Parts: sequence; C-alpha cells; structure tokens
Amino acid sequence: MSAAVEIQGLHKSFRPRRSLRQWLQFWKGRPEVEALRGVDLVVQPGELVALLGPNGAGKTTLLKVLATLVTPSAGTVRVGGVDAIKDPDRARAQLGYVLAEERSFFWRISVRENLRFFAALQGLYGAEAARRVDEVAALLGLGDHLGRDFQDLSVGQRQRVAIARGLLPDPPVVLFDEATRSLDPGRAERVRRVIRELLVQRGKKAVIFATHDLAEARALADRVVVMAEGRIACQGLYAEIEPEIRRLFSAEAAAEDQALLRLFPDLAPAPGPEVRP
Amino acid sequence: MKRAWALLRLLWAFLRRDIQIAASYRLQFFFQFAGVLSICITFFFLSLMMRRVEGGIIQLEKYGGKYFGFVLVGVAFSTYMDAALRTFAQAIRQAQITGTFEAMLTTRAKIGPLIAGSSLYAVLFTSLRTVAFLVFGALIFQQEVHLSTWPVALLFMGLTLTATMALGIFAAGFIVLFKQGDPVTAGLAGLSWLLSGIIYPKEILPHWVQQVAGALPLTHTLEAMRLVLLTGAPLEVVWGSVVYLSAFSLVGIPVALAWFIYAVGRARVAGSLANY
Repeated sequence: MSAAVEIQGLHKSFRPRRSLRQWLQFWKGRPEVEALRGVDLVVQPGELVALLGPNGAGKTTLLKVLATLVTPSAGTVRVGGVDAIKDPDRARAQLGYVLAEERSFFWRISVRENLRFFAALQGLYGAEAARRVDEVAALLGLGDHLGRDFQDLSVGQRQRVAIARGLLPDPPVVLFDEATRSLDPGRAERVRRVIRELLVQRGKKAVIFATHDLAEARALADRVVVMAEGRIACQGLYAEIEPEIRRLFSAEAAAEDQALLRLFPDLAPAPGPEVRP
Repeated sequence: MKRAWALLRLLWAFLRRDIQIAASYRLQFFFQFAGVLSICITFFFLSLMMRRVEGGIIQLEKYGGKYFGFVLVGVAFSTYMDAALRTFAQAIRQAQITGTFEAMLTTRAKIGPLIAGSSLYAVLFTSLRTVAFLVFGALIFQQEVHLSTWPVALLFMGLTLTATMALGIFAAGFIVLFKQGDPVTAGLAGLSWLLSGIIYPKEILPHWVQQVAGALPLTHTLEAMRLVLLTGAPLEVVWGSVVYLSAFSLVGIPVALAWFIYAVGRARVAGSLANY
C-alpha cells in the first residue's frame, strides 16, 4: 500500500515584502526567509500525525504546500500517490483542508447554503450534496444550526462549520490547521473524538493535525512530529520524545520571557509549558 | 457531456449563492435601478437643451439624429462594458479580502470555472441593468428603439461581453499579483470614456484619434448598437464590428487566461494567494 502523504527534501523560501527603505537600498538585494528547510515526512493511511511546534515553526506553510496553495522551492510532495507539484488539481481531489480562518465563509447566507456551495466546488450536487451536508453537520453537532446565517453563529460554531467544510468531500487525507483553537474544552474533545474514531480508526484516513497545544498533541496523535525553525526537530510517540518537546518549547518561552523582562524588569518569569493529564 | 453538466451545476452554485447574498441587501438592489433612472433623467434634460442644435450636428444623423437616443445607448453600453470589465478583478479582490479565495482554491474546482462562476451574477445583473436603460428610455422618455433587430443587439451584447471578459480576466491577474492598482481597468475605462464616443460622436475627434479609438472594443459596440437599435440597421451593415469583436475575443481570452494562470502560479510561489 502506498503512503497517503510522502514528502522528501522539502524547502520553501519566501521573499518578504520590502519596506520603502529597502526599496531605496535596492543594491543590497532582497533577503529570503526560509520557512521550510529540508522536511521529510511520510504518513500512512489510517495514521494520525500531530504537527507540533511553536508559532512560526513552519506548520502552516507545510500544510499549505500539501494543499497546493504554496509551491515549494525544492523537494517532492505526493498526496495519495499523486505528485502535488506537477498535478495540483488531482492532488487536491485527494485531500480536505480545514482552515481555521472563520472569515472564509459567506456571512449573510445560512450555514446550509455555505456548505452546499463548498460541496458544489468539491463536485457534490443536488441530493448527494444535501445528504453529505446533513451528515457532516450531524457529526459536528451542527444539525440545529444549518438554517442560521453564518454571521449569527458563535466563534466556536463557526469553527465547527469550517471543520465540516473540510470533511465534505470525504477525502483520504485530511489536514487540520489549529482546528480546535476557538472551541471550549468539551467541544474540542468531541472534535478530537470525531477525528480519532471516525476519520482515522473507522475511515482509515490519514490525518495531519497542526497544533501548538502540547496537551492536544499528546491526547490526539499516534505520532507527534515536532517542527522548529522550518525543520523536523524530532518525531515519535509523545511519551518517547516528551523531554525534547519540553526543551524546545521551554527555549521559545525563555526567549519570549527575556524579551518581556527587558521591557518590564519587575515582572516575575512565567512558568514553563504545561501539559494537562 | 458529463463534464459540461458538472460545469453548469457548478456555475449554478455560484449564481445561487450570489442571488442569496444580493437578496440580503434589498435596498442596494432597488438603488441600482433607481440609479439607472436618475442617469436617464439627467441625459433627457441635457438632450432637451441639445434639441436647439440637433439639426446642426451632422455626426448624429447616421444614428437617427436625436441626441437622447445617442447618449442613452452610449451610457447604457459603456456602463455594461465598465461593469463587465471590473467584475472579474472585483470578484477576486472581494474573495481575497473575505478569505474565501484561499478556501475555494483548496477544493477540486479548477481556476477557470472559479473565476467565471465568481463573476456570473455580476455579469447577468449588469446585462439586466443595461436592458433597464433601454426600457426606461423607451417607455418613460419615448425614445424609439427598433425591437425588430433584437437578435443582432443580443449578438453584440454577447460579443461585447466576451471581448470585455478577456480584458477583465487580464485585470484580475494583476489583482492576484499586486492586490490593488490594476492598470488595465483604469487605463481602458479612461480611454474608452474619452475616445469611444459615449456622450459625443467619435466623428468629432481628430482623424488620427479616431484611428486609435477604433482599437477599443467599446467603440465598435457603441457604433453597432446605435445603428441597430436606433436606425434598425441589419447585420450586414455592422458586420465589420462583428468580425472585430469576435477576433478580439478569440485572441484575447486565451491570452488573458494564460496570464491569469501565470499570476496564480506566481502567487503560489510567493505564498501570497491569501494576502490582501
């Protein structure tokens, strides 16, 4: 059986927008920012991988490369056996992308109409689309909210609609980007259960779940892949690599503490990263 | 056949969405048509003033001799072209700002149907608004409109749309790359307003300027539409404009689509698709 996701030697550099001063100093060139530096990753069908890392580690860039929104500078990406760089249209047919961005909906129409519209973009129409919308809405506890305008939903409800949208095409690979960040603990746990039990265990889907929440990564994933500064710093079972994870997150927290203490010297240092049992 | 059916259903999904959104802004819908009436009234009074000299303006003779009819068709189809020109870039810009552009690009839909669907409602609404100009002009201001030539008029609306689509898609490519400041729409709208003969006959312009005006699609649309709607001219009389607009569309649309696909590719490399 071929891997659901196969990434080799992935690099991505961006040229950030220049300020007016940088424009005027054009002879100095335009420095590049390396968002991904040689990432190798294989995810099998029926595997749940938590992509863990502090802000700016490269998690979202990696997901965007998989979703064909960003073209990498070097390396290969295969999704469901399809080359995502050479054939992005076919690669996208293999995956669902759960954007945490709540703006990405049409606020003045109902949840049902929003989901039906995105279902049409995924090739689902008429009765088939209606059935699928009802299914994913029930799965995420949105059944009673389908008739409400998107703008009338709470932040947590909007986030669940975003998850529902990613699940509409029933793809073999699902990418989640900070998908539970606005949910209350009960709802977040329900979403995690849907991902773990229905998508991965029953549906045999490959799931990559980007998060910066250590507790979520520990509770959710078969395998944790820790990213730092565009590289995979370590990967494995959470328990096996916990010391390394703590070290990475503590280093980031310490750096932020130092910056804060420079501004407010009378502040006490913050405690280290906390993992809920 | 199956793919064509799927494309139609996809376009219907866009249309359905945009009708629902438009229906949630009822007052704006009403004001769009009130605006048409207001423009008609303005030019009607201007034409009353012009009546004293109409006989002396020989350039109006081939269009029926009346200034109101001349300017009605001019304004109706210039707003048609202007709206059709802007709609693609505006649809992309709107989707960038609301964050839906990125969400749509992660689906199975291809880029061509996405951009066509995003603009479909605006194109249809603009067509309706153009017809409203002619209906108000005929019913309220007693302007004679030759209805017997409606198939030719319809053909020209279609050709104007396809020619404008080429330019509109080209402009949308600039929006994908630079977010704001597309030079195509601003430049073309300004040139057309100045040279195409919207509120004055282009024949009053110096000869060499008329040659430049002949390169603009709107010049051909206005010339043909005035002859067809105001004098009942048959297709043979306006055949030259049919050929020009068809050639412009046939060359322009593939070039514009290639540019747009290139722009999306560049934005993917720059990681700026979702930026606004």
